[in-house]
Amino acid sequence: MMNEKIIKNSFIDECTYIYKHKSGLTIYISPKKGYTKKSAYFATNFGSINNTYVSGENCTTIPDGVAHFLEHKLFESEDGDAFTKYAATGASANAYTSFTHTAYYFTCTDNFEANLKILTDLMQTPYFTAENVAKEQGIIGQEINMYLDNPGWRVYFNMLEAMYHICPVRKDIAGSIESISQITPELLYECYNNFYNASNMVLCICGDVNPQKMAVYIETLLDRLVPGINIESKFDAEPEKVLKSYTEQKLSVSMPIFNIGFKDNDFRCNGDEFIKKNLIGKIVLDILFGRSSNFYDRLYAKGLINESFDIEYSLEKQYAHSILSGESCNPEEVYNEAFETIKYYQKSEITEHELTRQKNIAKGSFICQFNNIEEISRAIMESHFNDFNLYNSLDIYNSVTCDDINNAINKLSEEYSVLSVINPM
Amino acid sequence: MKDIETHQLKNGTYVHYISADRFKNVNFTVNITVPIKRPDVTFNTLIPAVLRQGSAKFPVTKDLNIYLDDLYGANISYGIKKRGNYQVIVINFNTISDRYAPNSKPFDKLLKLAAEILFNPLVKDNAFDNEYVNREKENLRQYIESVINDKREYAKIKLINEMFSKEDYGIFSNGYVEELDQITPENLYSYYKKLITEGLWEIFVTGPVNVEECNNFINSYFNFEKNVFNYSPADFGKYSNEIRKIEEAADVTQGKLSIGMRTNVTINSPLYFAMIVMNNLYGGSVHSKLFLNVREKMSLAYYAGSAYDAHKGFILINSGIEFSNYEIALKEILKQLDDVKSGIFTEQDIKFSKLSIINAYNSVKDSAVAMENFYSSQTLTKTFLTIEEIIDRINKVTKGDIIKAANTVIPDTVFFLKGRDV
Repeated sequence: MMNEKIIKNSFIDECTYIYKHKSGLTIYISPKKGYTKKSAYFATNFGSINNTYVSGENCTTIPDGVAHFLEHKLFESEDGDAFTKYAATGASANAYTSFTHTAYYFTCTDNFEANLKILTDLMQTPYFTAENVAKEQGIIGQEINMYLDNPGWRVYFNMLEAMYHICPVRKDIAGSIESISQITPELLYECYNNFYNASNMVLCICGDVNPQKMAVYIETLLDRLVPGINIESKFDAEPEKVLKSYTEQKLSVSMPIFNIGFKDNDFRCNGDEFIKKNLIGKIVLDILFGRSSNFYDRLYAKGLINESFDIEYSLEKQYAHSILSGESCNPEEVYNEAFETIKYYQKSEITEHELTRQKNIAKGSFICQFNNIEEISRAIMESHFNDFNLYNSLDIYNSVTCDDINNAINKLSEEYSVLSVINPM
Repeated sequence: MKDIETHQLKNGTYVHYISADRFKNVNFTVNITVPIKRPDVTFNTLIPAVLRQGSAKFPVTKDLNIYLDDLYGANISYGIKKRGNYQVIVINFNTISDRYAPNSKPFDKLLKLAAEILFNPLVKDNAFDNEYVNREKENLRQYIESVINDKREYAKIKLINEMFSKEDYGIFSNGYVEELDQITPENLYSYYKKLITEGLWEIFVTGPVNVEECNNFINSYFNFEKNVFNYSPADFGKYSNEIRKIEEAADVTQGKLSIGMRTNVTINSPLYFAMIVMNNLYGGSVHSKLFLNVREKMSLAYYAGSAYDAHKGFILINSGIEFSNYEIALKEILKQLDDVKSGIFTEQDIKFSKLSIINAYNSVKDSAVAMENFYSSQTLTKTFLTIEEIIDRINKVTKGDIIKAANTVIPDTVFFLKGRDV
């Protein structure tokens, strides 16, 4: 029997059981009464940014796009394709690669245990051949081309490329046609062995299940899982300032599309501090640029932004940034207006009233994510990779002060910002 | 436990309660269905955008947004859907359940806000607010023109527009730039009044709510005088004798291929359930013929799939390919259809497709939006089948039914968005 721990929040009536497998794998089970669907996410802390690693004395850099390529290929094994196995159970399965991790998942309403076996099997049985790698180069080549035609994706990656000098977040997750042409079965096995081991992975389950019974069953599925080996991803120091403050590309679009990025150099934080830091990042954006801000009101009335305007804060262990995005007839004016707003707030202070409003928004969105079993699994996964306790969120939200927000606003500066524009041809 | 409780107001408006305790938020959604007509579509798209700007009580949009933010980040969202010969305007209001804010009663506030936005708009001299209308006209112009930004979506929209050019279904549901000039705050407001009396209104309330209290409230606001709404199913059009091929050059890296096929099997046809299975095994899943052959075997595409529109009666296929692979991809997609027509598929293929469809139907209950879609799509056609009944029908589909359904599918139009130098 695995060691069991329960984390919970009784106000929202949600909890998660945590089990530690002898291999080092952590398993989270979030019981959800009354739900028909069940979900399982099996993820490894290996994303597109983990492209350089140290093992003993050796430092290796791999071609861009390996993590994503591996994600495609892991579905195949010697006894067939995992999608075919899922088809026999009716599950809906998929996988994705982000900057920081790769996740394999399914949702189903029946045959949960059989599906869990398919998922855990596929994670433990890599099968890469010259032939199946060549076939995937064609498919992923089309995936890369699809994104080259997507202006929303291009404006975002152009922004990241301009913001970062070194951090691999500046590179496309899928790599390029050229970089994936260097991928071989041997390289995939090497990365699989380095990154798909127990202590680097997590399994998150959510749905109407009995956690104890499920834990006993899961133990029988993990027989081929290897414990962690000592591989460290290496990240070179990233300069604080941005590489370029402006970047532009022409594509066939109806009007200019922009991303305004703010590099946040103050991203290092541990445990529950992560929740706080993340909330501060979001609140700053919302107070300055959210739908009830003066900025939004003025620019919307002037026709400088439209419904497509959006704000987003991203925090990871290796980087952090904020992004304002949208369509505008004049992105430079949006940029200038954004800095007028920043300067205004740097001279004044936010009120308790504004802060309370922001905490209400955060509280609402935190609670609503528990409507969706996939979102719960993903939130738990994120909390695992960033070492925080998701259920402490509401308490931590309460601890954020006006000073926290004012300090974060004071750090915004033009030397840390980028304007990326896609202009019509 | 019953999934849904349906009431009908005296004026014909349907009110559905999905009062599931498992949801942590509450949704109040209004669907307004009207026939799709060329002169109306631009009005239909503009209406919810203007309503969202404010009301008599919230004449300043920013104040409305502050009110929403204070209400735990409540949202008002809107959209427009095409359903056969009809358009559905969807306006959704949502916030957290009272359970998590017992003192501020968010649901009560949300209901009052919905009534305020819908029935107390900012109106002067029988006209909407001039500033709201002008700025939303400009936003709509930008939105209509932005259709070219997403080339994948553009290819789909162009295909539909070309294939149904002689039918109402070919009308762009986002509206037309050239018609914006004729829209005024006055005629837009009179159009809204017409929408109230002539559209089919349907309300969904999901989440843990008190049905009786809510029903009293809805009765007092939504029981306005209405004309009778007569539904007529879409005509599937006419089969064509040969495939019409259209190519367009654009600045793209990858070719976008869209293929439209007609079928006279629609939501009320005996072969409707067979067609759902047929589409799933032809191109609607990752074990489908299109996925396994066009993507996995021939390595031609990252995406290659089909979707079945049962309200109008057609199948739409989309794929992203190298320009030079156009002929070979098209040939393969058509060959796979011919294979299904000739019965070249196994009992296992059928079983896989049924399982995947059943899984999707069973999943509906976990999402408020999916429940709303499921039931509202049936209100129009008055079919009212439960999820269990649908699953039962799916299970009864035979290989012979699928072959029959496949043989009603006739390729009609091909649209290919290619590079400039090809």
